[in-house]
Amino acid sequence: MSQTVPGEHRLEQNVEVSDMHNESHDWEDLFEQLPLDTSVSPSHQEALRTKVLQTFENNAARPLMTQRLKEIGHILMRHKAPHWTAAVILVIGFVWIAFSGGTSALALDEIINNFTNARTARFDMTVRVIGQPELKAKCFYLEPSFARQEQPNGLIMIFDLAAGKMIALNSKAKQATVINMVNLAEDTEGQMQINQFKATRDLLRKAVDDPNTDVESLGEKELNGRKVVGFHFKMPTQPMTIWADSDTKFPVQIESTMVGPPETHFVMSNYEFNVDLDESSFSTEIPEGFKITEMDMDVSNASEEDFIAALRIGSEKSDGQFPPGFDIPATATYMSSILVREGLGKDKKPSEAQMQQILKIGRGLQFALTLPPEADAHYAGATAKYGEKDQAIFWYKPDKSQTYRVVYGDLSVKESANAPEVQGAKKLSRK
Amino acid sequence: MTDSHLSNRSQSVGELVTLVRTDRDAFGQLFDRFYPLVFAYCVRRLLVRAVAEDVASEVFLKAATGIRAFMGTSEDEFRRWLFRIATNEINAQLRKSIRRRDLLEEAARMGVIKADVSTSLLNEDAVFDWQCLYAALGELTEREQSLISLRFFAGFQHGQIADVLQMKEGTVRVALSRALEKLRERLHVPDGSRRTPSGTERGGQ
Repeated sequence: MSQTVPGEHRLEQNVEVSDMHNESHDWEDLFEQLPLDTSVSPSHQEALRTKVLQTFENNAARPLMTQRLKEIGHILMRHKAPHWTAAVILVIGFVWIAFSGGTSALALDEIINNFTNARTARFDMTVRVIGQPELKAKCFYLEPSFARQEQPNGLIMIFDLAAGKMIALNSKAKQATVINMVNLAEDTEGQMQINQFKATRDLLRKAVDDPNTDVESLGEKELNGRKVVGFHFKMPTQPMTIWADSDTKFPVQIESTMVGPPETHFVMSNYEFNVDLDESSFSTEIPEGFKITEMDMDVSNASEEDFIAALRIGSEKSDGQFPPGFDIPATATYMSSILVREGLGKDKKPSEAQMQQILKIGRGLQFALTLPPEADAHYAGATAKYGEKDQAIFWYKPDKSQTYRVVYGDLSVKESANAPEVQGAKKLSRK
Repeated sequence: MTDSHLSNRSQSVGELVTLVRTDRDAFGQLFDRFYPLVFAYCVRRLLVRAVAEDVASEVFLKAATGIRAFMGTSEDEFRRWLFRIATNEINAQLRKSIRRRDLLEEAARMGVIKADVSTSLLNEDAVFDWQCLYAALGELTEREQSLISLRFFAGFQHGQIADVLQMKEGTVRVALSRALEKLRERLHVPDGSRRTPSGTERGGQ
């Protein structure tokens, strides 16, 4: 400030605040002098009104969360009550929850609101995939869909899902990998589980809105010196347990399991919400001096064609062998062996062309991994080799189809009314 | 605002609040009533109109998203709920250094406070600058800033502030008094010099 005014004033020293009322009036008088135009801009108000009412309408389309929480309150009561008192408690529970608010349901209400309305979050994440080394990361989330992961080895990954972009920065080696996600659909984002915070939040929203979700109150316990309350959501594909601070009702730890395959356990802990995060730390601009490898990754749902392409590339690079199985350890072993055959390892990074082929294999194999149980998918390629035209290696029933699509060792595909009978064939089960 | 926004004006605000969780028109009418108040609160605290508009927008978008979790039934409860969201949003903005810088730059443009008001804070023929005041305010804790903002920028009484900040009313009185005392202390300038926002001192004229 550069004003220099004759007789410049300064506040009286040693002001005694003996009368709070007068004190308050003094400050009121002072702030009334604010030379501000506080009138609204009619055009801004009008535009905002339209947007706000649209948001209101969109929100109205969802079932009332409080209503759903009352229902969850019933379920909580049911789980806590012995059979012989269940009927009585349900009645009492209804009155209790509906008119005065049940402790469990209200706590859950606050916890979910706090979690779903957070604008930013910071937390630690541990991911365990059966048969794989444990992955740890410090994670950051910024609305609407930014995520940042910092791994202990110095690798930093930044995700801007709205822009369909991921980057990985290796500061030590000054290397950057940029992945442009192509064909990113709204629902793909959730399926990819890249932004774990957003994925968990979306899943929780769905769980609360779904009248079939079973929720169990786990009561109170101490977790790392904090008193926490717990709830277990029994969702079929990804059961989840939330532990929240008993006082603040903010989640402290969330544990979830993707039943898979592959079975994947997430533990997100040490949550801090609505913290001040520097937006620039979510920038996907590559710092100067980094060597950039850039590639496109098609993240649309993989097709049979992608699957065949993956088997073709994989078998070409594996002396004609197909994957030993279709779970994560088997596919990871298969991919690793391809990397070794390609001469890639700790010190040699793949070229862009090699990376594209690896991504193609991963994407194609995903087709088999994501087929629903009703597809009755089976794999019998573990002992087969590329070119065995009479050997059925994979079959499944497409959606609403009465016939099977059967893939043979030469990667030809034929329709069949019945599933082939092959010894050692394994059913692929996405639970 | 169009004429359609003024339909059902005969309904009291209290009645509108009872409908607001599920009634679009009620929400729209409460928006018309409270937007100017929330915007004024935001602009008094953030000073920059564009930032205040952004924050007020965020407040109402959050309100529209979370309205079904609102359990109040009176105008005062709705007002307190709305200003709780606004206070949180303002605090979130002020955690960003760029926003604090913008605020102080705007405060600098506002110049000096004329002392022709009835307050013991100013001398009769003296002036005082807004930048200094807002800088001093920014040095208080977030809770102290919220107390002062709700009291003097939103015109809330102690009981209302207590509800917004989820404190006891008695605690609000004491904490507000202490916050004002701290503000006075931070504005105290020894030896006829006036403190600049950066904390350095420069000579008076």
